[in-house]
Amino acid sequence: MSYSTQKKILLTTFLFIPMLLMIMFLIYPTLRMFYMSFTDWDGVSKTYSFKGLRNYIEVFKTKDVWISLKNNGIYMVMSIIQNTIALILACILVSKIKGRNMFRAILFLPYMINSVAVAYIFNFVYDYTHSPINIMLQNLNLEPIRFLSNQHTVTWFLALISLWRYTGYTMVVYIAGLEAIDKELYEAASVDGTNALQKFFYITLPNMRKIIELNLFLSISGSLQAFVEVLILTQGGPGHASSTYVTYVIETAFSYNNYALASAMSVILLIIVLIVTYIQNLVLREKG
Amino acid sequence: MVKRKKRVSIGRCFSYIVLILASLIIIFPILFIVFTSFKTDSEYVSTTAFQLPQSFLNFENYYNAFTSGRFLQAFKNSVILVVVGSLGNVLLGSMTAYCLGRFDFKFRDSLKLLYVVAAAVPGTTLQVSIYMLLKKFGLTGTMIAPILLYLSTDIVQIWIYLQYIDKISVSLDESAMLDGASYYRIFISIIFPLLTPATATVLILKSVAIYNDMFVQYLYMMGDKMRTVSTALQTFAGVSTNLQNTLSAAIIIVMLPTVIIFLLMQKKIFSGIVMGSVKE
Repeated sequence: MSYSTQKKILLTTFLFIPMLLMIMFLIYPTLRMFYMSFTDWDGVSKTYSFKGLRNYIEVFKTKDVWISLKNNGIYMVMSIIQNTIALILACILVSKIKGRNMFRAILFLPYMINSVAVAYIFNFVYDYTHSPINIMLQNLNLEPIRFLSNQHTVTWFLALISLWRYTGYTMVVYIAGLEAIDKELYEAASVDGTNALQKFFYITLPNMRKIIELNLFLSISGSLQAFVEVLILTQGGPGHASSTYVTYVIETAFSYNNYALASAMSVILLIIVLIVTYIQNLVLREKG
Repeated sequence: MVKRKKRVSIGRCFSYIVLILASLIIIFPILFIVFTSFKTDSEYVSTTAFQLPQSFLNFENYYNAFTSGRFLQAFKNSVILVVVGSLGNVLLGSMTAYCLGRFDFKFRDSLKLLYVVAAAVPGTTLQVSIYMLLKKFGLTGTMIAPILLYLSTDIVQIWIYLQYIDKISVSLDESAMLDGASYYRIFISIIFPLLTPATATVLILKSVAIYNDMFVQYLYMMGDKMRTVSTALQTFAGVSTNLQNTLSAAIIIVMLPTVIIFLLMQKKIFSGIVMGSVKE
């Protein structure tokens, strides 16, 4: 058999299943989601009719959607803090500091823990009566904190869980980036008498631009999709004070069977992620 | 000169303070859970989180959690997902990367682009339509649904494999072709064996990711006999008669496998994460 026929057969057989999965789980659901977002389908009935843009209008008119989006904003703020802390830790850990492998391992550890387990670890840390933090506060004669029942702060505490879990991961990626920077650049700068801060701004940051961009993309799009902690610890409560966009979509689709509205919400989330990514690239390009 | 040395040591001090503080923030929550998991019911009620348990050999909570949380079955289900999911990813990932890395064909660039797009589209947004599709095929509430989802469109292992394939010299393929070997033969006897380090990385990362995942298992495997480790923990915690000490033991049971894997294969995991996320 000639190699060109062989190539055709090989490509067809090797790529058939990946392509099929791609169509099933990416292309078809995306198109279907767009299509259904213009209907009134409940996910069960055989028939449905078209509603035009009414689902989208309803999404924008629903107050809880805005609360959820604002909560995702909090996760986003937290993910920027996460990147800053991770970069600082990474800068410290690439220097020849004693015990750096141990610190690296400890800081990365939370990423390895099952997501549900992490949520329940914090269920204990945030327990009103048993929380170690509250016990300390009470010993200092301070008011204990209502971590999960105060509607103004609940999302911040939930977002802190993501910070706890993912900072080490981000740090590991930053460490790899820092280690790839040519050491001679720093040596040459030292000869010229630049200080550590100048080195950071003139050598480290410009060389790390791509990796910072990537990490920010990962953590910001992750923050727009946050839901595990919410689903397990508060179910969005009190009221909808801690629901995120994704938990609200799940609720709309699976608890209220409003499949069409959930589709419209998913389309909007998709557009938001794309816009945020685009803006982020724009901002980082300008600076770089 | 003297001044400079002093400045450096202040920087060192500051670095250590930051590192130790960060480490404590990571360790303390886990430590509280470990302490609590060894306490008896009355001990739990009468002591605070900071107090050590009377005995670190009191495994009663672990026994109770494991049996009444039905973790044996949950582990069995999780292991099935992990084994089929990660082996499937190795097969599909290496095959796709072989096509993309070694051959020039019409749709190659658009295919690569499609994988990048797949990585950028938030998976959670599509889940509602995917759920309805799988429901139509009657696959919801079966193992097939999560396995298919774990096998689909993930760019990470393709990136890892592509980076290794690019390092394998094409002259190896060419000399095998002079001997008349088919492309299948070349893939099976030359390329795939040389990809072993990549395969190990993909196996570890995928196993951990599938074991730790909650969303897919929550949506598709909530039935009594379908529970995985993640959803079993969730169900177990929902039982109101379980005190925090038993729940703590359940948490440790669930987190232990991946933590052990991490301690044993730390280097491989770090390099895999870097390779999967950074591509030149």
